[in-house]
Amino acid sequence: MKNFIENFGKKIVAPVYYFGSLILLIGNSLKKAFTERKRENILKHIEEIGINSLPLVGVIAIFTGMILVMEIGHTLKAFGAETYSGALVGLSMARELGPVLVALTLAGRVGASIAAEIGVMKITEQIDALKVLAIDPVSYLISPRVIAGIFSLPALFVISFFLAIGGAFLIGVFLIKIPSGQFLYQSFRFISYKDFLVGFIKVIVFAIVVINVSSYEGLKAKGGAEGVGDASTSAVVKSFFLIILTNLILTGIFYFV
Amino acid sequence: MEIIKVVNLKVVFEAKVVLDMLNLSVEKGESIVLVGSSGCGKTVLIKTIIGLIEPVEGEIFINGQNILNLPEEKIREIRSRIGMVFQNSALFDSLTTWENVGFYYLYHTDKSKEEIKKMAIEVLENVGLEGVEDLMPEQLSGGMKKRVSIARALISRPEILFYDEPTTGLDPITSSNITSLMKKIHLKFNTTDVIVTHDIKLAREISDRIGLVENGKIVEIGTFDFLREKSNHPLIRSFVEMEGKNE
Repeated sequence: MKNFIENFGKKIVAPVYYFGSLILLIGNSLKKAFTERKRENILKHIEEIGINSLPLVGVIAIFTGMILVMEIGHTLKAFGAETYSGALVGLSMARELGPVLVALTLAGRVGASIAAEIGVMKITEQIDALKVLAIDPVSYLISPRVIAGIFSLPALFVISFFLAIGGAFLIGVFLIKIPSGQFLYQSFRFISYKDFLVGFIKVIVFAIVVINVSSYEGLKAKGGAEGVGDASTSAVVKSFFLIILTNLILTGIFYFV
Repeated sequence: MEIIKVVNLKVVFEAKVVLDMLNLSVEKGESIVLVGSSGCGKTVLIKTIIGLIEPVEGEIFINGQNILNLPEEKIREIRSRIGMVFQNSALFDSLTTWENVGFYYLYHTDKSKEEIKKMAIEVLENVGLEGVEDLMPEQLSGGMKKRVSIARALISRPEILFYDEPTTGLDPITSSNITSLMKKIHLKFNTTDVIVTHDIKLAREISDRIGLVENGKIVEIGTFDFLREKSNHPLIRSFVEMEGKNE
């Protein structure tokens, strides 16, 4: 009975502890992002997070645009409303799919690598070595990545939006035979400034979440190679979950409150 | 003069008591070696003293200042007067040898890279390494990594140097060279050294005092000769016998 209560208690406390620690880390990394004077690593991280992610984000965006218009256009054609396919693609890419796809790509590609890199540093005592050199690991390892993410993800979001429209255009115009002018007009017709603003806010929040979750998992890594592998897996799984959860909350706040 | 004083230190990891009301005092300029079986808490002790592990009880004084009550900025300031050589060297993989050695100055000061590189090369020469400044850590041998790690600890001219298993994993000749280097540094820079090791030869050669850690406590402490003559502790006896065979 005592064991049962202990285990039950641990299961309740663990997620509370996790979220509490994560929120503290996010606060700390953001504070240090704006107060730290050494910023030379930021360009390196922008290259890693932004530029190197561009090919993958681009291909995913084009394919997503194509798939969306195949599904939507085909269905709408039955009602003679296929010209509205572009509107649905544009709206969903600006408000929901675009930010989420960019963030999921970041979590899969960069999140795992951040967790692995910091995990190896933790296991090989490089994190301890930083502390002994009077260097705060959050300032040196996490904050520059957070800044790089805050700059890179909005850019990736805008690029992915236009590439998705481009992919959708190819299928809509050449396969479903929607007039090209009509398709482009409908693609942008219903998108407001607010939709883009919400998209930007979402990708910035996602960048902060993914980079901090991945760093936190790396900092918690234990043991050897297996511990680093576990940290990477955990970083991706938890980032995916938190991206979807945060998206739900932000959509609720911006469109239903 | 007492430079390190540890009072009733208790460290617990997931309900396991690792350090149990441990007391230790180290004089300025002294070289103290901590020996003991694996898992007895030697490394935890030095990591706790430099603030990498938080104790649940006790006090740690460095130069008379209780570091457990200090804000993070003050602790960082104290750490800048401490050097640590880690068991696996803990060199930063993404930096060159000179950047590893000069990292303290690269991060904390506005000195030019050229100036810091010059300082790093000078310290590398002090530890017997020449022409390796532009190599990456993976291009160095185990002994060279250890020397670079010592150089990194030395560059800020620390008052206290902590060594965690400095000769573990090295061949006997390299191990002997590292021991000589540690002695040379101790004399040249007048550092206070706290060394954790299993290497009884190193302990004998370099120590002013040897402390035996067992079950999270220091159970015996004294000079090598004192322990050899007076101690009946089985671990000390086996160390003494091992050393006798080596002679």
